[in-house]
Amino acid sequence: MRSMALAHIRPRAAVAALPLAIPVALAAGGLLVPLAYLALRAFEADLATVEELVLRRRNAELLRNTLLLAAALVVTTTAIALPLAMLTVRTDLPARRLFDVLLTLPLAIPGYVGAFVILAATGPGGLYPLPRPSGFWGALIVLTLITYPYQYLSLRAALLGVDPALEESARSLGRGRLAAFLSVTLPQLRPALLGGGLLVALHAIADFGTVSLLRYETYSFAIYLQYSAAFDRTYAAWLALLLVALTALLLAGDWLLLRRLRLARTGTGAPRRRRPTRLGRWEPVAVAAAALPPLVAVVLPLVALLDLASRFPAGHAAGLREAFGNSVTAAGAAAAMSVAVALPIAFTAARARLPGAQAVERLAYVGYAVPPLAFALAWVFFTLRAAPALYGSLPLLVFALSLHVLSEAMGPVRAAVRQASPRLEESARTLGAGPVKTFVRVTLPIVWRGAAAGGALAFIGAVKELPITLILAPLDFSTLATRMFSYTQDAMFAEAAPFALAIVGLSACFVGVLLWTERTFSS
Amino acid sequence: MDGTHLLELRGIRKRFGANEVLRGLDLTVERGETLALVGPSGCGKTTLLRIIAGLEQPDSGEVILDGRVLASPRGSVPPERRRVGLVFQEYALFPHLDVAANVAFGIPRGVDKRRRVAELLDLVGLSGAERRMPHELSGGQQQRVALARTLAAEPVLVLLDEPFSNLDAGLRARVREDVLRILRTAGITAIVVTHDQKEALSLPGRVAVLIEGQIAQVGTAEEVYRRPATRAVAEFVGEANFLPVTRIRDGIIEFELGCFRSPTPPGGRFDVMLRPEELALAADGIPARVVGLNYFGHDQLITLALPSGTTVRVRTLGPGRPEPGSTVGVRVAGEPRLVAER
Repeated sequence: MRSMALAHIRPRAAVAALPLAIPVALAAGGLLVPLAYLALRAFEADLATVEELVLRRRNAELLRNTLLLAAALVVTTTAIALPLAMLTVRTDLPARRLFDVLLTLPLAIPGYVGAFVILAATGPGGLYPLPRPSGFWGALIVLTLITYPYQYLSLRAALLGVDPALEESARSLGRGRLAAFLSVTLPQLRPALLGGGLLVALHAIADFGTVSLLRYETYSFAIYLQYSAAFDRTYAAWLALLLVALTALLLAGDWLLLRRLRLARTGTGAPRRRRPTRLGRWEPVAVAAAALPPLVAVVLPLVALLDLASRFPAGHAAGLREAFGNSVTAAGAAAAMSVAVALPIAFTAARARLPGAQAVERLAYVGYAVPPLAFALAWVFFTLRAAPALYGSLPLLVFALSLHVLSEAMGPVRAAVRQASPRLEESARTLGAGPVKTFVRVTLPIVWRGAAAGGALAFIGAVKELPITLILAPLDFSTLATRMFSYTQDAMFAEAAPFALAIVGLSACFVGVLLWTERTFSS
Repeated sequence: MDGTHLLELRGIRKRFGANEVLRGLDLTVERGETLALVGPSGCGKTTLLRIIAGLEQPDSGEVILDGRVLASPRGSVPPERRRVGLVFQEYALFPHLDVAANVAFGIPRGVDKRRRVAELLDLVGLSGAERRMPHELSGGQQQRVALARTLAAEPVLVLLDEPFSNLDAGLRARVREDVLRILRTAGITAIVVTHDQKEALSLPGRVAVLIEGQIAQVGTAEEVYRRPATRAVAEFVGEANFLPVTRIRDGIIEFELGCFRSPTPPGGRFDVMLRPEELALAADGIPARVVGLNYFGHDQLITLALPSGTTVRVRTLGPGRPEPGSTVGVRVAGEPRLVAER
């Protein structure tokens, strides 16, 4: 009787670790190896050259310009986002749900489209006859309008989490309304301000499209000039490395500051909902203030794009179709690949009983923080040395894009994987289902919506992406973003407009998919 | 092979890092019984269930079910081949499947699924709920669906992990009756895990007390309560007074409140144990000072300091609340016995 049972006995083995390990290693390698190689390449030069390259006066100028833009952007976005977050969270502003969506819409506008609208629609003879801002002010205006939602979302979440009892305690201890806000609520918002500010600053440092079209010389712009015109490889490598170092410094600083700011509710019980402040006769002013950012950042550009597109020369339609197809192909493949990598990473982080399993998940965010231009350049150097056949190939473009958008896929995938509790799979096992049946009938149906949502986000990110595509795409492979960029550089605005519209349209479609999966999720 | 044992656990050990959760545990479960497995939280109850179900592998020891070796140092039968059902504390109903599909999940091939689902839902009193989704059900209903789903897979043994702890107090007693009735009707052997000693004692079958990774005692509820094997068991299953032995002479055990005849347990230290309800206030008793009083309505717990300084607790019913600080008389009203330290 015992020997019969032994037929079913399986030897003890490590849990099927290999299917998980391969994608995790792929992501880690794909992110870290080119960067490591970038450093190697930069230090290949002899010491005198390095000294000459790094200590150039121009580097100090670039650093000053980059930091100035980042700092100014943090200030402007916060100045817009804090009052808006207060309005939607703490007042009886009408249609608050709608404003929540409207206020985040500018995220869908890529920076180079914003810059394009400024170039094509302002100034004398433009649709909006305003003085044309360029350089620092142009870049600041565009980036403020498209990145304030990061700060808004961060502050909104924090304000929702603030326990109203704290401010009420301060009031009962004798502080006035404003004093209570400043002394009790504002300090609690510091982690959110830092978090949102970090995202905005990273955006400013990494931005390429806006600054290069508006001719404001930051690191990204200088790197591109080196790459496309002079191409002093060693100098380009050094600039890219300095850009990565600057990003790393920013992340480290933010981490240090945040670490000292662990704020949490003490005591038990759920925080009460706060009674919203009544706007009264200020209501029309508040509505107008909340409507202004989406109006300026989304509606005006769309009107300008439509106006310009009406003058699109019909002869260029074939090019538009081709670029559309290329964009969908590259972004679709990159999105699929990023989901395929995000799933095992999320599973490893959620399930593996290994120290450092969580670190793997954080790795995905490296791809987000590394400035895309530096990342693309690192891949150029690496493939030219290690695998020349890959250089300028579609697979490399797709792979690099998928790593760049990995963090966007990660969010929903991670949430879905946490939802698929191991208890459910264990239940299936004790009910007689083997590992494969369990995966197909239990895990997959629970996780797929998250995977779809993650894929949609990754797709939007990849369609909008410019510098990686510009540098890594095969020679005759142009996408909506690269075509639009080169038309704009040549001041062919009517030709560029439909490409911009197509990018915004594709993003909008996938936002629709996203909202749909979210709705079916919560029901 | 012994025909009446259904499950036999031999020398089960399990360690998580530095923490040895199970320390050479032995236990047998008879065919058809409902065994209550009880122990303080963190004593290894859930780990033991997971080892029986095949979701964890023991570091050493054997799991033998119905004569089949399920786990041994040589390897392990995967959970889907064990025919051991496990009802999770949080039920773990599949959120994307309706009630019928949840129940049908484990029905073996060749069985008429529709009919079997109808039978099982009838058994658990949920006929007509086939198309409802798990999140539309109350806690008690989810519990019953989880049980039906487990029974559908035709297990030879069902494990229930803290089955009543997620239910509010008002519902708990009723759901417990329901679950016990269903298990009895299905004629199935079950292990019910609980950390609540009152619940364990109120279940109909034997009680196994798990303390520090070993089974400290197995017996009927009364045996475990009246004749606990160790001091730890005595304290876990209820309130207990321990009084030192003052003298042993000719098999007579003497202690502060009297004497009784008892064989002495072999080896180790032992004390005299009396439950608080086995002491009574009496004018002619041994004088003691009232040092504390907990009033619970239908009974009260009085803490007394004996002349030696030892404190004991006495449970009394009805009226008559002694003043703290006053002196009362106390006497033995039950049967004192010796309980070993370990």
